[in-house]
Amino acid sequence: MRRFDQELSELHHQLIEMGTLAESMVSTTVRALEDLTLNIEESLQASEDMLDEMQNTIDKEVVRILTVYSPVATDLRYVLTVSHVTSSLERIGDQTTNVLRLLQLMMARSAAKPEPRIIQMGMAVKEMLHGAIGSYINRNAKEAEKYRNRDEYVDSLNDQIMREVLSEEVALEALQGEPNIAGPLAQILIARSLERIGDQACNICDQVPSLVATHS
Amino acid sequence: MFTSRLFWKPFVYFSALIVLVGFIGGYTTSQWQKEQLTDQLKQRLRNTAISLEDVTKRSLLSGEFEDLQQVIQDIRTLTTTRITVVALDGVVYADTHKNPNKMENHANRDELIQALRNREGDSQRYSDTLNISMLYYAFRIQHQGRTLGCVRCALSTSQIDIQVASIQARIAELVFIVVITGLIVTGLVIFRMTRPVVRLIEEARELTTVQLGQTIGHGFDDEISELGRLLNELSSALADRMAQLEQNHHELLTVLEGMDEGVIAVDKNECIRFANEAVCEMFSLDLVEDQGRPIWEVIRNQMVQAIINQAKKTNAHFRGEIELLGPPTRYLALNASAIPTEDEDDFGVIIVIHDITEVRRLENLRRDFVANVSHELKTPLASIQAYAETLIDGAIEDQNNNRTFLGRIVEQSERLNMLIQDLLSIARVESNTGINEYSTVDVSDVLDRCIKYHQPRAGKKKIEINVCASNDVMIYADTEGIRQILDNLVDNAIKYTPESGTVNVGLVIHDKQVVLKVQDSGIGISEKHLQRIFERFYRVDKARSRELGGTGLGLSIVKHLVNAFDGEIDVTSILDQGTTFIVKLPLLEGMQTAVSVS
Repeated sequence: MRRFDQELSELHHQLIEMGTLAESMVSTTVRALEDLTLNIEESLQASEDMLDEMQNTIDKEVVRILTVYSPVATDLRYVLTVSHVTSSLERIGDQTTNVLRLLQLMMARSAAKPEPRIIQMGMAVKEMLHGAIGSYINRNAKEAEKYRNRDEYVDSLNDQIMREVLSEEVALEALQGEPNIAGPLAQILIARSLERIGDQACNICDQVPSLVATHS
Repeated sequence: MFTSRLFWKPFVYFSALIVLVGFIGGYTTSQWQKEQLTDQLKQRLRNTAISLEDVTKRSLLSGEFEDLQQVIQDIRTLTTTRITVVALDGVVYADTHKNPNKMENHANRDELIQALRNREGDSQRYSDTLNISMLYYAFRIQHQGRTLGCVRCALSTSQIDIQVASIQARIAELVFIVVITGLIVTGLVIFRMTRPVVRLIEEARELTTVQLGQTIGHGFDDEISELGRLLNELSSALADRMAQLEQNHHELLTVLEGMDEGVIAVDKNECIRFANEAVCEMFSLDLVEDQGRPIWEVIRNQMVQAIINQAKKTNAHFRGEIELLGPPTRYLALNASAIPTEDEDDFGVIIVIHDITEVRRLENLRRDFVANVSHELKTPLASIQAYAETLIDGAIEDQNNNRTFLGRIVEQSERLNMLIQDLLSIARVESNTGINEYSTVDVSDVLDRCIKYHQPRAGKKKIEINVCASNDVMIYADTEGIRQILDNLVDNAIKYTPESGTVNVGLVIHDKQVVLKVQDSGIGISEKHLQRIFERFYRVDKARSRELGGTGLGLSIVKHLVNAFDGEIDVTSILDQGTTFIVKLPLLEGMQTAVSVS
């Protein structure tokens, strides 16, 4: 194997490792929403730090490969998508810590539990991310398209949650200065974070066609 | 054959040798021939010179050269020999080809120098006088110990050259024929010698590529055939070994494929070498497509990766548990061990994966059970304790309430008793020790009594019980068990049906099975709870159930009993519309299948 190919495959490995980490972060977060386990904060934070570090390493590697080897054609396209994907994964990591923080706030400030729809969203987003990374690895544009289309479902769930949680009563409570709108607010914010994870998964899906394309 | 090195190598060497020998032989022979001819010529010249000794001596002594000139001219015409008479000081006195007076001094000629010193001398060189290559022979003329001069005879060597050339041509012809014959013979001999070996090699090659175990090397009768025989033995031994290996491999593969546990092996580069069906199912892999791909690309799981890395690093055994999220959640126990590869410092890894979801579920169930039992026992006990304490604290004197309190104590004691009874019966059913009074049971009879027992309670709630039962439905079971099944189902139906509802009970024989159907128009059970209602202490609505006096064990007992009687139970429900329980039990053999429905 040429040195360049070797380094490219090493890069690929690192990227997948990062993807796996991000996926597991999303998984644990979704499970926390289900089981209301809050003791994962430390491990999630550790994962988040590791994710940032991985992004740094991979991005540096990308720049190095671009300057040292100046790859062309498929290799170039691949290397260019790598930095896109790492930034998406990193943002996904951020959102998971967000969700956990919101969940903690929700549990501390109100008796509310995450809505069933939020759990559904979490599941959908988790699947989307898994599918997105899978299709990226397998360079399967069709599959990427399929998972990308799940985003509509996630968005619609987000809208529903928004509408239902912000019911008239809640609005009234808020207007009357009732302090306890923490629950509904947290629901909305958690839903939004999940929706953003979905968007990032879409971004990853969007990178796939450029890997497959035979001409630019 | 002619591409074989075995043939060409000796052939080339031998050919080179033959050609070399031919050339050396030809060259030495022609050289020797030439020497012979030169010697002969020299002899002739010597003879001529010696025969002229007298005449020359006389002429030299007298100083008269006329006669001499005449004599040598005569000889020249006869023999074409050039004759020269040279004085001691090199002056030419007579010559057959030139005027002696015009000739230069010959004192420096090799043959003359030699002759003066050794009496005779010869030399072969180019004659400036005649412009041809000549062989000279000189002879010293002496008289009474005094040297007078030399007589020199010479002949052109061109004749020798011509003869030598013709002889050389003959020799070359001969050498050519010999070399060609030699080459042909060598070729044939080597061909004959190497042919069996080459054939054996070809056959042996076929053996490795086509089929082990076939016999080769027939038709030779020397060491080659011995070699062939040995190869045959080797090949058949190898074929046996291969067949055995193949069989082992197949057996192993079948075992691995048939295992419930997942087995996956990765090489030192973490590429998947083998994965059985169970693994493929667990991680939704494609057996064909994903083989050879890196495991981190296909199974993207941190724990799996961590275990592999540890096993590789330390060449030891590692255990780990992972949770496969994604409905339904599955718990997997991983056992990873390093497998040695040809590279000593690098290991492959084999992972055996157990699905421990069920184990986990049972563990949870047990834990829940203990917690539930304690809780369920505590509730009536606490009531009893509270009422008793109230009575002790003086309420016993309160004529209005003391009976009520005592009544409550009795009520709670009954509840406690019921609970313990249920617990005992469930324990009995579970351990299969309680039901040993198997006999032929008429289910319709038991049902009859059960309905009669429950009728008053139903009447209170204005619930209509419709029974549609065949007569004489006989099964082989425990009467008490059947009673408990019917009791629990009908009791539940009445309990969870609001006032003025209906409960339909059906008992028919269908397809050699007794089908008991208890349908109510009650509150129903939602989908979420439906699959868990047979669990011990599982309550759809905790408050309502307790209020209605349930222990939370009834359906669990029913399920266990039905299982004990080799039957099955099924439930369907629609929220707010009612629930239907269907129990199927095997009909007693020999029973008529068609029984009139009353």
